[in-house]
Amino acid sequence: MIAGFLVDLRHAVRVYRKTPWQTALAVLMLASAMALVSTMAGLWSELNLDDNAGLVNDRGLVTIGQRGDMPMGVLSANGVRELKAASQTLMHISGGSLFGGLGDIELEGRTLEGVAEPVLPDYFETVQPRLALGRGLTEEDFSDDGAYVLVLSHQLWQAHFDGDMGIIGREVEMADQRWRIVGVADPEFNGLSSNRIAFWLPYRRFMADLQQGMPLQMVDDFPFFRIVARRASGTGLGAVEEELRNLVVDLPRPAMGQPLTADRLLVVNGIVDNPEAQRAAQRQTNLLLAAAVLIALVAAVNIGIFLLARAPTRRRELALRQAVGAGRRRLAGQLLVEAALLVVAATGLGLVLSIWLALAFRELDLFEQIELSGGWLDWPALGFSAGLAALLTALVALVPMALIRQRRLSEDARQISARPGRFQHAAGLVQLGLAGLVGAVALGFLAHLWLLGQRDLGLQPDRVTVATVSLESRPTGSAIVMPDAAAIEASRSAIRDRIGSLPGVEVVAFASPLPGQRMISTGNYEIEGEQINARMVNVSPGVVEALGLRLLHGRDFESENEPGMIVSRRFAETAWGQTDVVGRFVREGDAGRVIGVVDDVQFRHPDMPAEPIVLATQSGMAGFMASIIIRGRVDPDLVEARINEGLALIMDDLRVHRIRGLDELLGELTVIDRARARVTALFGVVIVLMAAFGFFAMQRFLVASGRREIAVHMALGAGPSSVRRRVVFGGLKLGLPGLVFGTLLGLIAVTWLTNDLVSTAVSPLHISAVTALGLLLVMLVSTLQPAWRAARLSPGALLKDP
Amino acid sequence: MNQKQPLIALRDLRRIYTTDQLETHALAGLDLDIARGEYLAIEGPSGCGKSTLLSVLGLLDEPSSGEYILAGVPTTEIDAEEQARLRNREIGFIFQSFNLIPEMSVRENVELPLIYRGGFDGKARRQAAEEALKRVGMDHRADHRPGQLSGGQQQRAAIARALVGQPSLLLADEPTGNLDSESGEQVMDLLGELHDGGTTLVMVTHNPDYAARAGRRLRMQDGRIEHDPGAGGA
Repeated sequence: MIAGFLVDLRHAVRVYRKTPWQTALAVLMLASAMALVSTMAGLWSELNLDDNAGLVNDRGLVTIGQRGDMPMGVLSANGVRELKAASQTLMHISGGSLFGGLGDIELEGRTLEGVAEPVLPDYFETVQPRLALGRGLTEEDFSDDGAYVLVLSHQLWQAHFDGDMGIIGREVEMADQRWRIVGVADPEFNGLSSNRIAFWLPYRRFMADLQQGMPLQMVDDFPFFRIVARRASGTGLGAVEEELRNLVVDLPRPAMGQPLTADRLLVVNGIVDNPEAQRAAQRQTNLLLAAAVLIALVAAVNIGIFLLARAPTRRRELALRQAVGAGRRRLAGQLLVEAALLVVAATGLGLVLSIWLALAFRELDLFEQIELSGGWLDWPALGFSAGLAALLTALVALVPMALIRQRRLSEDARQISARPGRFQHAAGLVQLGLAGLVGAVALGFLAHLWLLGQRDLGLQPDRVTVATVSLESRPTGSAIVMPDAAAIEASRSAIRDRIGSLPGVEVVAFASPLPGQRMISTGNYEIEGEQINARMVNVSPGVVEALGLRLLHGRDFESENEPGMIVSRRFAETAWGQTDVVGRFVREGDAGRVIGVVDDVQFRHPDMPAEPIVLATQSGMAGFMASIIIRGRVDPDLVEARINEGLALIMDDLRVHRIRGLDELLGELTVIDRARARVTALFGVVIVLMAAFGFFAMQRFLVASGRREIAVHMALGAGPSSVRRRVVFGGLKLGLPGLVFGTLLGLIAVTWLTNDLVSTAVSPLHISAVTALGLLLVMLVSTLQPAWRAARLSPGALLKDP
Repeated sequence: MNQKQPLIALRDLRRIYTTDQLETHALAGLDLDIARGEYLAIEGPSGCGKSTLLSVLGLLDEPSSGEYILAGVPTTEIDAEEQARLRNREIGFIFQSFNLIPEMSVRENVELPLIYRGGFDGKARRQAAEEALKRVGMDHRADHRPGQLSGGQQQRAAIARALVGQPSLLLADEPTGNLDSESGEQVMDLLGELHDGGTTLVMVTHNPDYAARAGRRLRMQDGRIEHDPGAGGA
């Protein structure tokens, strides 16, 4: 048996060496498909199966978040408590506050780095982290009259306490209090945050004792938690989400931000930073993995067909083998070894390619809000790839077996014509169908992207440069001493002078945040009994001209720190039912008086409705971190140097972080759409190329097998153009069902996508029409070379009796 | 057209097959005239160039050098499309292995040359095909597939296909090679009748009895004409 295998292997090597270019092409094609498969399998596994090594048990652990700018829940501690009392589908529910900054807090005289994770009751029961020493926080630790207790991170235990094994029970001094250490976390556990956690402590203690004594009443209504929960045994994610949708309606409104609503609620498995992005990434990865598997299957079938382009020779060889006594099983074994050799080579190359591809995918904006390991393949992904490789081996071997029918050698030699059989029809149908499906989806995403680019965002980004600023190298949680208004004004004046004097500069202004900058800055206003949650933007005079906002009524600010507000059309219409609202009051006093109304500006994804906006010189984000907006043509290097000189008047380490065009910044609004369109287009191109290659290989096979018939036609008077036409029309006829099928699949897919991922302005019918034309082009292009080849046949030699 | 002008005129015609290591002179400088209405048999051992000559005469193969004039047309000076039109108009082929297309009925096979010629509607094609089939005694088998016919019947259908366009030249390559003797005789009788009707016939054969039926017997050896009683005005 082994000897037979070795003979087959030697023969397979010889077969492939005869046609090195064809073999290389086949291996490369399958390798590309396998690289896509293993990359997507790795991502899928990480997004869906990844075990959290820091937990005792991660089964049933879910994160509760919401869609929108603030992905983590805006539930307050009171909200979590009520949810816990009402839920039937969750065993435990708890959370960790997003406000764990330690500032310049010292622990036994040493300044802490990282952040604390102030946690709600039931945290350790819900999350079930592994502990290196001691215990987690229990119910008693959360009572107001209980002891001051901490669970240290492994890193802090090592760094501050030299890994002291007797640390449990030891009391340490922090913020004028004695804190007892009750546990040390496992090195693999880092809480719910992606920041480096120093220690865990009860939320109320943190807010009341470490955050300058926030009143406890306020603490319980203060939102912004990462909410996690454990599903009750036998309860699915869908059931939890459904129950919570009903329950959130009655939860108490938090002190800040918009309340969590049923339509925005999201529940995802595991501990994740951004449930919405996680779910989108999972969904996208599912689709891409399915597409990659389909591509690999198509590639395998194509290779089988491609290798049969030299079928007449192979068929003769196999018929001869049969003639000298080889049974069907023996021949099947030989074909299997040949296929396995090809697939193993392609899988090996594919895995090497996937190292690069996996890194490239992890860098994609599609996953930018997802915590990915940056690794390559895990065991489940490798197992999946290996299983698929085995299936492909069988497929590559089966295609020749299906096509090379048993026939006598003499019969074979007399064969005149080759008509596509059931297999060719099915292969054409499937390949073109898939190409139509994936191609239409890619076109749908590209059309969606193009339409997004046509949207009016409410500003004019041409010739506008934006410089963002940042504080250099400050550890997370460091306290920032806010500069006074005079320093900011001096800095702005200096920057205006230095930049405004440059040739080509029309106006310089300041604003924070800008569209495309992911900053949360909202405020609640009550006007004539109407609650309005609006985006607050800190601006300077000149902002209307600098950003190209459309002023509907009133005027721009005329001086720094001028009281008053400019509101957006949506704000005015929501509050007063009209846009001419200059002189009205958003809140009492001069600071709340409306001095201007601008048209709506899109700060969120262009598909979302415009939100109410308030522009003011003294609201929203801290003014000293505002971006600098320059309208006019400028040299970025020169601008950076001059801005840095002005920023130095506020803080030594305040620097320009990045300079780019406003249009590039606005591109951030559609970053996911672009990434999705790019990835889908990549898959679309690959599968269309595969289909084209498969169709081409099939036409070559048919031309090679039907050379004698072509020669007969030539003998009867068919000229080269007639032969070419005959082959091309034959190809089109063969591909027609696939074209119809692919167009139909594309229509269904794009119609389905317009319900969710793609703008409803994208017309599935138009996309289908373009897909049909594209498929027709693919068929034509794939048939041209075989048609030309057929027309160049030498009929004299072919018509000689064998 | 000048009736005294030969239908076929070859001048120093050569066909050389070249591989990496070998140059084979399949036709090594032939000079040959074939008059209209002539019945020529080409004989010779295997590999002497008979079939290559027939392929070149039928415009199925390009000579490497030399001149080939068919019905007054210098074939080496016209492109492949024009050659195809000339082939369709002037030449009918009869092959040893019939070369009927198995997926088509006998009538459809016979209609093919008229399809490539153009200018015939479906009815005219059908009528012409039926007449050709009647001439070879195969009209009753017009709707059969080639696979349903005997070898002799297939060859007769192939002859009908060769005749349907009323070519001035019939080229037959071992037309009886795959037939039993009875069918062979019938086919040879049929070819004789066609020649008697004025068709120019060039036939390659190994069978001396059949060659003897031709008005002119040409013997080839190593790509050259070894014996041609017609040469020099014979």
